[in-house]
Amino acid sequence: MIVPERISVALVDDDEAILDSVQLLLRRRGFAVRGFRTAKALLGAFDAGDEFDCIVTDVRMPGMSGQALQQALVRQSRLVPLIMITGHGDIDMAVRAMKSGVFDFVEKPIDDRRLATSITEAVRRSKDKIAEQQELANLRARYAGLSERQRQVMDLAVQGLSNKEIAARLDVSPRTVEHYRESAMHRMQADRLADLVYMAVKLKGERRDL
Amino acid sequence: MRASRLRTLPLLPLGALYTCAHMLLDWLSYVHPFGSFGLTPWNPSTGLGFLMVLLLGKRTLPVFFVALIISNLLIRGMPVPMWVALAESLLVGTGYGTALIALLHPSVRFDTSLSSVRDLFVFLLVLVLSSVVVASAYVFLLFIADLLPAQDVPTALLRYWVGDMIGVTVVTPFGLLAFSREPLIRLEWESVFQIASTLALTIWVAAVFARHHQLQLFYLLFLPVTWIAVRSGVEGVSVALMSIQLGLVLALVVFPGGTIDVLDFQARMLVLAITGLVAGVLVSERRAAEARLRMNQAALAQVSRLGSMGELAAAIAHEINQPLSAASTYTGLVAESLEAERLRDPGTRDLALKAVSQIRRAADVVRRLRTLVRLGRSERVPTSATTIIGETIDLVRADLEREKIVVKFDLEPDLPFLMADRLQIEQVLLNLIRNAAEAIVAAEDRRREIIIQANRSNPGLVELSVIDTGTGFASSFAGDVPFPLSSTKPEGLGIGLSLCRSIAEAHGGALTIRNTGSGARVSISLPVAEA
Repeated sequence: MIVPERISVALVDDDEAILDSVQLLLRRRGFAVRGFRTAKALLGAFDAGDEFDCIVTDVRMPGMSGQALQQALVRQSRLVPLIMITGHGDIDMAVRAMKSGVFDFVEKPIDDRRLATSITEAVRRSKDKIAEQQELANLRARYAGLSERQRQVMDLAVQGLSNKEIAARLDVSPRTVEHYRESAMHRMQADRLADLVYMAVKLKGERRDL
Repeated sequence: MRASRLRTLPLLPLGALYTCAHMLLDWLSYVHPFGSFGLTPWNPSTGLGFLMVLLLGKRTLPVFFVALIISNLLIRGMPVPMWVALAESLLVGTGYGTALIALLHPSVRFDTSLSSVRDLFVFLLVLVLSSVVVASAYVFLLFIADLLPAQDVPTALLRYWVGDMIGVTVVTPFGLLAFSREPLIRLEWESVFQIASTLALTIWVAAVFARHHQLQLFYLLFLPVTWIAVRSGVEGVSVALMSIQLGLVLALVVFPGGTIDVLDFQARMLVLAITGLVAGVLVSERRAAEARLRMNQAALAQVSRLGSMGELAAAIAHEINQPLSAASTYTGLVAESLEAERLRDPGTRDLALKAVSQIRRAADVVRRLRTLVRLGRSERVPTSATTIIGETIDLVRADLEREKIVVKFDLEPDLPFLMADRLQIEQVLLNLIRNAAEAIVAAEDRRREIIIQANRSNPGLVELSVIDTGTGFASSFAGDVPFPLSSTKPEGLGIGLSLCRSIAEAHGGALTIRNTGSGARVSISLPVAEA
């Protein structure tokens, strides 16, 4: 299996033996692991500015449970992927946890391959997600940088209208349309019309979501 | 005795039996007759007739008729013309016969075990109406036959009515209850004392009354009847009323006061009887409701116990799973180290030791669990076998009474103390008695009896046995064969008997199962406490 490069994992379990054994296991698999006996301690570390790529937490703990930890992270908009480990596979709880955004559910006794894969996968997905969000933010900035005319021309062009048709709609000469179209594509960093259409769809999806 | 045995009797022997009893009662109660035609102050034979028809059904009505005629002709020695005697029997038979047919009609829903106030009221209502009609018709017959002067008609009417009413209210409920309850009353010091004191008071009241005419003394009899009603319910009252009536008749014979007005006495007796029966039924009904409530509470407790068992099981599973999970991770790491041939690495040894300590932790949980169930070590102290049996019977008495199962005891005198955990052995005994009761209920048509036996079996051991008249065990179950965890009972949890055996063996005893031919016998032997 692929040994991941320095993925940092926060491990939360009230049981010292579990904490110790899983910590050793994950270290051997090449993860940077830090153990916490309580969910509160982990939240404290976040507050102190520490960062983790992934959280692995027990469900049943005195004080704050695994679910409560997940909710607290969502409230603080910390988008760290979270994996739960539990001793009693309760389907209801698993379904609820997955719906509330928990990445995965691993049963005790822990299958080390399964846990390591799950962590790697969680981190990869979360990185993909972050990259995607970055791309979208760039796109939005470029779109915002277009002039009024450039934006009008781009919106009509991606609907499949020809320069002539756009000129008629906007009551300008086709030559002027040609000019705006070229400058818009340049600003949006699109080489072809197809690229521009793809960007428009992304932006539109984003706007619908908002 | 069970009514079912009488029910299967052919009509002819039944008729003969009944006629004899009827005549005997008529003869015994033929005291203080009024007028030449023999109006007596209490007619228990009418009560007996009611009892027979109510218990054995309408087919016995002809027997009632025939007995009336024969008894009239033989006992009273024909004080009236033949046709009057025949007409009289016909009148009485038809009047009461109609009443009884009405009472037995399914739409009336009369329960002959008199277990509710409604049953008693229906019974008394039918009795009052029919006896008024019969008394009126009878007296009218005597009047038109010129046997009764006009001025005596009211007295005769009242006498006849009171006589029949009291005869039925004393005899019939007594009989109905005697046939539906087993036993009618428990022979305990209290009940014996109650009846004896009632009887003594009755005779004293009658004796004083015969000399001094202090009729108000009669009201003293309300005291024991009220007491008995509250303590023993309608069953006790029926026995008390029978004793009072017999005591009164006896006293009337022993102290024949010349001017004694038996009618006065009997009218008061009627009030006493009806009051006592109503109070008794109310008490019995309340007790039945209490028993039902207790049963529901027990069922509820069982459900909540199972609920908390589920929670307990989840908690135990978690407690055991945690260290096993850690141990499995540690040993996985050890295996990896071995594969990588990092044998000299001190970390590998640490991992193995950590795994061992986690497995010990899991074993500890299991050991604590055993202590929790208290099978491993229990509080064994010298305990009396009779105390254990008594306390257990108190717990199941209501259930057994509901199933009409009689418990008998066969306890060896001077049993030594047992070395036992009282609560555990009571649980075992409780389980065995419940099993026995279920087997008896399943057998349906047998004698319903459980015998609790305690005796010295082998030296140093006392054997407690529960013997039932139920279906017995499947043959593969009995004897010394180790029994499986499964149960022959459809609703059984199946672990009852195994748990009983574990407890007996933990005490240094044993559990044995035998079929007796008429049921089963389950025994546990327990060690005797050192003297």
